[in-house]
Amino acid sequence: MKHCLILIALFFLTPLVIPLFAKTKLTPVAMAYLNNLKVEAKKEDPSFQYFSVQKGQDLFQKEFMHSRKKKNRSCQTCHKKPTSTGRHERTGKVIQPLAPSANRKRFVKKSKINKWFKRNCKWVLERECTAKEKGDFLIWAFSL
Amino acid sequence: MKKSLSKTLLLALSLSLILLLPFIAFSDSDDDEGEDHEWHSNLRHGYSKHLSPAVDPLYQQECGACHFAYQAGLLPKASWEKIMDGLDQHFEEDASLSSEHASAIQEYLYANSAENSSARFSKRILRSLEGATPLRISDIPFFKHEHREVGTRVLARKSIRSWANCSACHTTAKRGIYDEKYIQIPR
Ligand code: HEC
Ligand code: HEC
Ligand code: HEC
Repeated sequence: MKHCLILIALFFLTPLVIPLFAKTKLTPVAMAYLNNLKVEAKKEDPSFQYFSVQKGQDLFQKEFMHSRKKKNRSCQTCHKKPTSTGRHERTGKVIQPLAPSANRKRFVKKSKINKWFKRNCKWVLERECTAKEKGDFLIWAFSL
Repeated sequence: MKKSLSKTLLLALSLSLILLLPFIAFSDSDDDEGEDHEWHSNLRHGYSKHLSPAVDPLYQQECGACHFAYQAGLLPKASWEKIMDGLDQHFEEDASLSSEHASAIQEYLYANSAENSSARFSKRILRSLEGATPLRISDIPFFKHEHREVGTRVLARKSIRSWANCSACHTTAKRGIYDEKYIQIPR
């Protein structure tokens, strides 16, 4: 019962809190996605309160030494400057801007967001990202 | 009265069709304009000059995210089979798909593989492979021969990076056109 109330409260509160960070209006998909991440983040760490734009930027920039490749990898390796085009490190293919302010087609499909968080976090961190990391990353992207 | 109405309708319909035609035919064009006449000379001597473009939207979305979406006619069916069987370890990347998406893409690739393509290049690719089934287009002897003059220093440029990046040099690659006159090697 208590659980249920918290969920309902979260559901109604997030639309009020999140837009404070956002420069670009959150897509309905991104909004629902963040609400889910909040619930997950709370499960991962009961003391969880907010996602952080700063932590999102830190994750984007942080270099991780790859255990097999012996080379530093980061989200920036491919996405470069998030408000302009990036380039895939291995294939050279141009990647459209990651920031929704520069690319309206960003974060509009749940299955796509899921798939690329999984692939890219494994590529860079050699593990999946936590819900907290994903939430930080998303609100940072919408703050640009 | 009725007759003139249907006449106007017919006129409007045919007009909009004519206006729409270029969009239907070249809906995925994002580069170059000058080679439309190429299509008229496409079917010559019983085979086509160019590869059929990879227009399947699911294929474009899933297999065109990390690199250029290669036309199915660039590899034999057995090569595509090997590629589709190893997507979780795809050149050290995770390119895995849901089983519905995988089978839809397989269907597209197998139906349009080099064996089923009428393109001149598909024939030459098959002939040069002599039954081999590589995972890479860039490992095909015909490919290596055609590209023998491109040095490794050129390939290493940030704007190119890899043989996998066909469209970096072949400005019309998306339309299945690899003619020399549309090649522009970036700096
Ligand atoms: C090896 C290259 C590469 C690296 C490194 C990389 N990405 Fe990506 N990312 C891609 C590609 C390719 C796509 C899919 C193509 C597209 O959407 O433009 C993508 C798409 C995404 C998407 C989907 C966005 C949407 O529109 O739904 C997210 C989220 C994402 N990346 C997050 C990350 C994060 C977080 C990191 C760092 C941990 C990262 N990426 C590092 C290549 C990369
Ligand atoms: C997560 C990124 C990613 C996705 C998704 C992906 N690939 Fe690849 N693919 C790569 C990389 C990386 C290479 C190797 C590039 C290199 O070494 O130059 C590659 C290489 C290839 C090559 C060989 C290119 C050559 O050098 O001739 C083929 C063919 C290929 N991929 C087909 C596919 C197909 C079919 C799909 C869809 C089912 C797919 N790829 C999806 C990353 C990806
Ligand atoms: C570094 C630039 C570059 C890249 C990348 C590249 N090519 Fe080429 N390609 C060339 C050049 C240069 C030629 C030779 C043109 C000539 O002299 O006839 C050529 C020739 C060809 C030909 C023969 C054209 C003809 O009319 O005989 C085909 C087919 C072809 N390339 C396909 C591909 C495919 C498929 C890929 C990606 C898997 C690719 N190329 C990647 C530069 C490139």
